[in-house]
Amino acid sequence: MNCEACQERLIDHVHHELDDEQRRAVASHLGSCGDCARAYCRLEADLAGIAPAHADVPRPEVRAALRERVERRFTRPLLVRLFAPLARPIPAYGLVIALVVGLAPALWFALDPGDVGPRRTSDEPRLLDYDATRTPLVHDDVL
Amino acid sequence: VDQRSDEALVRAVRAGEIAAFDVLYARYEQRLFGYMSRLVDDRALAEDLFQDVFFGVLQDRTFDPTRGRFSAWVFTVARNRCLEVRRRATARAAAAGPPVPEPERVDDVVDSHARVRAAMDRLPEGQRQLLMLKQVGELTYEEIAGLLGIAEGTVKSRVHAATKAFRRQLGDPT
Repeated sequence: MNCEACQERLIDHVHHELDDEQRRAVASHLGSCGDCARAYCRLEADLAGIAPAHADVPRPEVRAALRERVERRFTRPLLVRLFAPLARPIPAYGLVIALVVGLAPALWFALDPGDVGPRRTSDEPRLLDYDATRTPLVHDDVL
Repeated sequence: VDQRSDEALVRAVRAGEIAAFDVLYARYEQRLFGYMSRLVDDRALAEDLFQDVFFGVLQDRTFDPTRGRFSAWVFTVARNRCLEVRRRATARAAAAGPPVPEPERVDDVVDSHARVRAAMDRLPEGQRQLLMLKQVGELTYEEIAGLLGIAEGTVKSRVHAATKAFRRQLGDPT
């Protein structure tokens, strides 16, 4: 980039309105050309004076009054705030996760019941390891 | 320091987080009030308008924080409001007769800020507005184009002309 092309872009450069490629080209030229760098610094200094020269703040009472209005308008009642988490929308993936987590144990047992003893037949007693014909333990001859 | 964007802060205020208002206010207090104060040229009036505009943009749900920057929106609303008030004031002044000139402030002459303000005062209204929106409002060419309803290229060429004119007035021609 030559000095003429750089000077044409200085205003846009100061205003941060150049695209990345042009910005890099101008910055590179400014790094190697003293005249353009000085012109850039003068321009930037002149424009930088505008904002502070017009900066002004309202009285503190204005802020207080405005804050009060904002509080009145946007602060929610305590009950609403307490129950706010319940009112939040549940994302779609949240529902999927809940279903997967809830159904996983059921699916696990349905597909693989594991070692729960011999399979029962209809004529066997319903309780595992219980033999109705066997003498109860209390009648075992211990002595 | 709260790192959230202006748009996120607007959403937070609307959701009832008043602390977000404090952050947003601190970001805009100087810029917006300075701009409005300059437009209406009346501090007390600017304070009233500032309150109304700031509260209005927070309340107004037509601003969608997911689309466009808050700064562009708030400066657009502020500008429209100030111009409307100024038009009314001009009409009233015209009906009341010629204005009484205010005495010049001698102490400001040596002030560098006063020098900048004087240079800005000597610019045509349109150029002054553009530089205020660019430097004080920190709006992009695109946002200014949207605000003024003109093409971005036009904004660019006008900002160039305004910048050069401002520097001439400042006594520092390119």
